[in-house]
Amino acid sequence: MSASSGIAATFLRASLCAVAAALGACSDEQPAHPPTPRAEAPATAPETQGGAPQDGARAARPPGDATAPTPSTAREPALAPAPGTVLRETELKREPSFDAPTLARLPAGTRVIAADREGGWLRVINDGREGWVRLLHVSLQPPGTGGGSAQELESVAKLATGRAGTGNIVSTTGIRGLREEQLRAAAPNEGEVARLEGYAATPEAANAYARKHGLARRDVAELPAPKR
Amino acid sequence: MRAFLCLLLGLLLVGVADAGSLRDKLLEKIPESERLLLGLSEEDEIRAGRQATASLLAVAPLVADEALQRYVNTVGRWIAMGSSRPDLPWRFGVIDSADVNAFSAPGGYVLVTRGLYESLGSEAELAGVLAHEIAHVVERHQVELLRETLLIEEGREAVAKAVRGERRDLVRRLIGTGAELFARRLDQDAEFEADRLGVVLAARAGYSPYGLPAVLQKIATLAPADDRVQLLYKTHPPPEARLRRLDAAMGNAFDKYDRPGAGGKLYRP
Repeated sequence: MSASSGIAATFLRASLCAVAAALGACSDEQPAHPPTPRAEAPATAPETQGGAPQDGARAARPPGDATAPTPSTAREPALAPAPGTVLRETELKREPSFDAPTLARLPAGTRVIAADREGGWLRVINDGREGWVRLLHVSLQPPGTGGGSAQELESVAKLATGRAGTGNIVSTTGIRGLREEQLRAAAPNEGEVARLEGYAATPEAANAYARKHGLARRDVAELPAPKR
Repeated sequence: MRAFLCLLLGLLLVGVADAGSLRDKLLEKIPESERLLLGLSEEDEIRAGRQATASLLAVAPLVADEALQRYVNTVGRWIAMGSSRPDLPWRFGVIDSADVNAFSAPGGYVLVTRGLYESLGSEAELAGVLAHEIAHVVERHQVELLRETLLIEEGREAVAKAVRGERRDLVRRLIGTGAELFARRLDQDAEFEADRLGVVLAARAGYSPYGLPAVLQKIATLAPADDRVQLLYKTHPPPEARLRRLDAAMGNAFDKYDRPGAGGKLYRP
């Protein structure tokens, strides 16, 4: 299985190359920002159950939280720079928090470049400003559509500081996808499904994993369908 | 009164799926039209799902990495235990295809392609994908689609066969040929429902609920003409529509469940 850091590195190089090409130069050598090693166990955010999100959601875990995994300085991997469009009027926040100062209101249709994600927040560049918007208020698009100027792409690439995602998808051509006809023609592979079944986890193993990584089961009600 | 009696009998039958002659006797007493309301037994579901899954595996076998397979099973089982069907024999796998897609089959079979797995950036994103597929199984979306298809195509004959106990044949005809089940388009409301229940299941398991939306955003950055998403787009609404619906459903209320970085480290082969 090819390493995703290879894909991420390729995508980062491609993005920077696109920017450089736009600026009149292109090179196939090492990118300006070498890819970093894969992120370590990401820091846990402070418990926000039932309360308002805290300022500085990336702060260390609360004291006395002995069951949470050891925090590290690494965060969830960033996205590679990608163009996007604002779906509904939204606030550009200075930090990824509802309590953070609002830098601007972005109307629906605003073009942004997304560079990073933290939970339900997306770090974006718009019109030279950098800030955070709600992940669900933006729709990302393939590179080359919508998007911003070459300068914006460049500044976002700098922000990404080479951590642009372990795990990003690179568009390629020439790979043939699964086809319906292929699926229809398939006959069951008894050996392979038996192998699959052999890997099943027991409830005990699942519980142990959750305990080890500080995953506490929470009571969350089902969401009703939104009114049209 | 009659409707209530039939409903009661129906419930009994689902519960006594293998009580042989008692079942037959009860079935004889129920008018054909009401027999259509009877669901498949869990055993039928599993048999149907297993057969379809085995066919998909013939096309794209499991990635040869035992640690990877055990890892996704551990995470998947943990999430499924927070659903209304925690005791199904849930099985998860990563299959060797460059496609970006995930599949689920009745009875608790969930498969993720290598192409999709490689795009994941965190365990929360994996959790989001698995939770969406688990939701399809929990809500019995494929089962309903199969039953409707069968009833439309075969009508009374299908019901008669069920009555006669020809369950193997019924199950085989339910899933169709090979792995074509996975190329069928569900009612799009079923996809939106699986997204909603998916974020709930992820949150229940202690993850940020924004893993699934994040994966949808990543998928959206792929060109629609990219061959690796052609099957995904054939069977699912566009990512933007899904994100809009999730936003309308979650609002700001779900932010309290956000835990960026919660969970273990995503296994990298």
